[in-house]
Amino acid sequence: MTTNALRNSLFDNDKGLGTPPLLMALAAVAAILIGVGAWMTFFYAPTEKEMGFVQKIFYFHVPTAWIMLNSAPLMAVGSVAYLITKKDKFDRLSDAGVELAILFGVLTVITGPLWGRKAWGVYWVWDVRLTSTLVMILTLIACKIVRNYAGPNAKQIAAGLSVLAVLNALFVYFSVDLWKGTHPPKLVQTLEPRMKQTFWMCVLAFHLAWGALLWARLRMAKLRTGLDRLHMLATEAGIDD
Amino acid sequence: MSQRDLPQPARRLRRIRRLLGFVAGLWLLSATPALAQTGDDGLREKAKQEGFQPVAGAPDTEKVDASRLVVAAYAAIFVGVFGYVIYMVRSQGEMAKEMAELAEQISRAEKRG
Repeated sequence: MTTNALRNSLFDNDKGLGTPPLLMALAAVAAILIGVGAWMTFFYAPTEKEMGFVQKIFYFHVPTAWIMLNSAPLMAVGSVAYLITKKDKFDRLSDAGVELAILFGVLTVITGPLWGRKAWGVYWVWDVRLTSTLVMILTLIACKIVRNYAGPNAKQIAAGLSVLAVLNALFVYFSVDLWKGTHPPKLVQTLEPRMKQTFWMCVLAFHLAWGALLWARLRMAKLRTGLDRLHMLATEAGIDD
Repeated sequence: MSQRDLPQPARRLRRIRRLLGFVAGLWLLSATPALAQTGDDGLREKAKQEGFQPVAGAPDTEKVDASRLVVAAYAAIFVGVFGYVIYMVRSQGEMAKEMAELAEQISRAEKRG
């Protein structure tokens, strides 16, 4: 490959490094709405009669849990499509889904026990939903470890593991209906109107933030792939050290 | 006088003294909780015989400060999300640096011919 061709591909990628204005706008709107959600949580939504102030955790805890579960379809599509087609773009989609599911999953299992400490008297119970959520997060972490350290077949193994995590996500979702453990059931429909408005504002804000993070993460992965390819080409051309 | 200036037996003696001092310090530290126990000997004896006893007049449930838990939960979320954003910004910065280096190498190669 000539230096000119390399230079062209480099500058194509270089242009791509600047953050798109739409992504910036989406991130800004998400940040503002998260602020609005926090304000509504503390100053608009009434304090719950039985649980008191600690119920405020619910407004951020549930959206983070939903995002963890909503990342599952991304992982499913990305992983299955990658296993079939072996195209990098599907692998990137799966990886981004896994990473965001880990982030929001960890936030879920941090905020939930803080609520549980007041509501149940203990931080953790081995309830079906809590346990299956923990298993799902550990599977996703295993996915990331495998991707980084498992060698040539790492992407395929990671894709397989994320399919397993997606099956687990279904288990997490239906666990409260099937087993009726300690974890509260689905109660969004029963919320008082101001509580409901606050809750949906937080859901919207967090989903926008998730969208922005996903977009940024996919862009970053695409740039990384492009940069790695450039390094390879530069090495072949005897330019890269 | 420094350790090196002392004759061999005196040095050994000083080391033994230090070791003994260290052991005595450890013993004192471990004994502190025992020494801190004060109160009615009769009650202590009773507790020894019957195991844990409830204190009269104490509330049935432990009081947990909800505001601390709520603050901790919200702090965790903000730290987590903004931490991830910072990680991505830094990664993108590193890629930009790599790209600049590559551009520099290409320019040098072009100059060489």
